[in-house]
Amino acid sequence: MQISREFRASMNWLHTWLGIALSGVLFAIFWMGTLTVFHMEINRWMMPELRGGVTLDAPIDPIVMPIIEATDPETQTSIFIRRASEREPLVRVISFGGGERQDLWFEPETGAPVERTQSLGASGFFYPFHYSLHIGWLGLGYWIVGLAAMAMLVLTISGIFIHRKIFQDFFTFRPQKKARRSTLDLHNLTAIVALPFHILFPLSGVLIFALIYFPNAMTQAHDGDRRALIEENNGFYIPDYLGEPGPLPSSMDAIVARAEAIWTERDEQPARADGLRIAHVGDAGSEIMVQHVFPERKVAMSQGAISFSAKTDEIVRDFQPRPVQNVSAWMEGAHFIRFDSWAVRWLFFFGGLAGTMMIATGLLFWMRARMRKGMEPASVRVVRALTIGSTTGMIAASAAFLIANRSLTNDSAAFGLDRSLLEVLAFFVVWIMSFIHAGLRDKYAWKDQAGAIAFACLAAMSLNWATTGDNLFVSLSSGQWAVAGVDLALLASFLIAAKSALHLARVQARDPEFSAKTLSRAPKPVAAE
Amino acid sequence: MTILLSISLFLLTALACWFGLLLIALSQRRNWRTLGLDGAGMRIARPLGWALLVAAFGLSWLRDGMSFAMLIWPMLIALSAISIALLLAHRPSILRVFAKMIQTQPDNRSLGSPN
Repeated sequence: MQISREFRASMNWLHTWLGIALSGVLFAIFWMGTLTVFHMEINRWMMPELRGGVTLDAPIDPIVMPIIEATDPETQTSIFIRRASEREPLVRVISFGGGERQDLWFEPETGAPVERTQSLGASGFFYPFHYSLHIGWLGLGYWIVGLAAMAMLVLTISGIFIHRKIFQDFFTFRPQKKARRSTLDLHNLTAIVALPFHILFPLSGVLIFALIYFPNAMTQAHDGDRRALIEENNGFYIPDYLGEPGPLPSSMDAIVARAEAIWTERDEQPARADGLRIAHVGDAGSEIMVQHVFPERKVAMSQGAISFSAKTDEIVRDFQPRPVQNVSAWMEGAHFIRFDSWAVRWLFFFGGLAGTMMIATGLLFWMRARMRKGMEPASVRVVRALTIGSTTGMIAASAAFLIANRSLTNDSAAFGLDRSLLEVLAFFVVWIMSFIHAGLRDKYAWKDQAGAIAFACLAAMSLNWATTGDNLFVSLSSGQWAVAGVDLALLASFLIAAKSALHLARVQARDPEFSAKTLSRAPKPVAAE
Repeated sequence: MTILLSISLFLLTALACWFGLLLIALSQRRNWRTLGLDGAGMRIARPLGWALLVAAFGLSWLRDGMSFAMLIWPMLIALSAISIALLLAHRPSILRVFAKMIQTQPDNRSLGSPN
C-alpha cells in the first residue's frame, strides 16, 4: 500500500504537535509507571518494618478473630484483610464502620501489631501519581492521564506512518552523527523496538478506568447501575444489612482453605487467595468474600470471588469470569503486573525506561529542530526549561522523595504537615525548583541537574545505610533482594547521571559558546526526517 | 518444572531472541558495512533469524504458557534489538565475530569505515 506524501505530512504534523503538547505529562506518567513496576520493593526500602522474612502459610485467625469479636454489629463495620505475600510480608487489616477507618498491620507469624513508618511509600505516592497525578479536584487527574493515554496511542500509530523504514530503524543508532540525528535515532529505536509495550500500556490503562472515561457506554446494559456492572464483571458486591444480630464466623482460615480448594480443583493448579472481606460484621446478613484477584501463575486478573454466609458457612455466591472477559482481564492483569514473574517485571521495567527515553528524545529532537530553524532565544529558553524540568527535574524530585523518607522520623512535623506529607512536599519543592533552575541556568541546567541526580542517588543510598544499617553488601548477603535492588538501581542511576554530568561539563568546557552559536545560526530549511 | 530447568529455558529463549535479531540485522547490507565486511551470507541470515525468533516464542510458550509468552517474547525482542543497535554503534567488533561465522565467502575485504 502506497502512503501519499500529504498523508505522511499530516501524520507528521499530528505527531509533532500532540507530542509537544503532552510530552511533559507523558514523561511523568511513564516515569512514575516505571517506578510503580517495583512499588512494593520500593516500599520495603522506604519502610524498614517490611524488610523481614516472609511467612506465607501462617494462620490469620489469631490476628483477625479478636478484631471481629471486638466489633460492635450496629456500626455496620466491614473488614478487609490482605494476606502476606512474598512482596509484602505483613498482614494488613482495614476496617470501615461507625464513621471510622482503621488501618492495621501485623506480623503474620507472631500476630503482633507492627508500627508503620508514617510514609505514603511508593504504593501511596508513585503508584497513584501515574494514574491520577495526585490531582483530586473533580477527578481532573484521571482525565488528564486518560487523555494522555489516548494521545499516546495516536502518537504511536502516527509515528508508524511517519517512518518509511521501520525494520531498518530497528538497529539504527548513530552516536557519531550530529546530536540532532542521533537523538532522532534514539527516539525511533526506543519507539519501534518496544512498540507492543507502548500500545499495550496506554490501552490497558484506559481499559482499567473505562468506568470513569466511558460511564454511559459501560453501564448501558445495566441501566446505569455501576454496582451491578462491577458485580457482574468482578464479583464484588455489598450484601444487605439486615439490622439483626447474627453469629460470628467460626474461622477465617477454614473458609479461605475451602475457597482455595475450589479454585485449585477448577484451575488444575495451586491457587492462593489474596484477600478477604467480611461485610457487616456481627449482623445476620454478614458475608465473607474470599478473593482471588491476582493469580500467581496467570496474567489475567479477577479470577474468582467466593462469598460465604457468616451464619451458616455455606457458599452464597461463586463468581467466575466469563470467557468474554478473557481479553480485558489479560490486558488489565498485564498492566498490574501482580503475577509471580520477575522476568516480566524486569522486562516491563526496561520497557518503561525505553518509553521515558522515547518521550525525552522526542522533546529534545523537536527543540533542536526549532533551534535550527532559528527559534527566538527567549522561546528556546522557555522550551528548554520546560523540557529539563519535565525530565531531569522529575527524576531529581523522585530521588528527593526517597531522601526525605530516610531523613525524617515518624514524629517529624513542619508547616502543619506530618511526616508523610513532608516527603510529598520535598518532591514537589524539588520539582518546581528544577523548572526555575532550568530557566535561570539555561544551557547549563542539563549538566547541573544531572550532577544533582547523581548526588541525590548517592545520598539516598548512604542515608538508607545510616538509618537502617543495610548497605548494599549487607542486603545482598542477607538475601534482602528488594532493598538491594533499589540500592543497585540508585547506584546505576548515580553512575549514569555522574557520567552524563561529566560528559556535558567536558563538552561545555571545550566549546563554551556552543549554545550561542547554535542559537545565532541562520534559519535553514529542515529536510523531512 | 524445576528452577534449574525454568532458568535454562528462559536463558535459551533470551539467546534465541538475541541471535534471531542479530541474524535479521545481518540481513541488512548497511549493517555489514558498519561491521566493515562484505555482505556475503546475507541471504541465509533473514530466514534463519526468523526461525530463531519463532523458536524463542515456542520455548517461552513451553516455559510459561501462551499468556506469559505473549508478554515475554516481544519484550525480549525489544531488549535484544536495543542491545544489538548499541553494539553496532559502540562495539561492532563483537558482532563482527558472529557475522564472520555466517559469511559464505570468507574474505577479509574491508568496505571502508562504517557509514
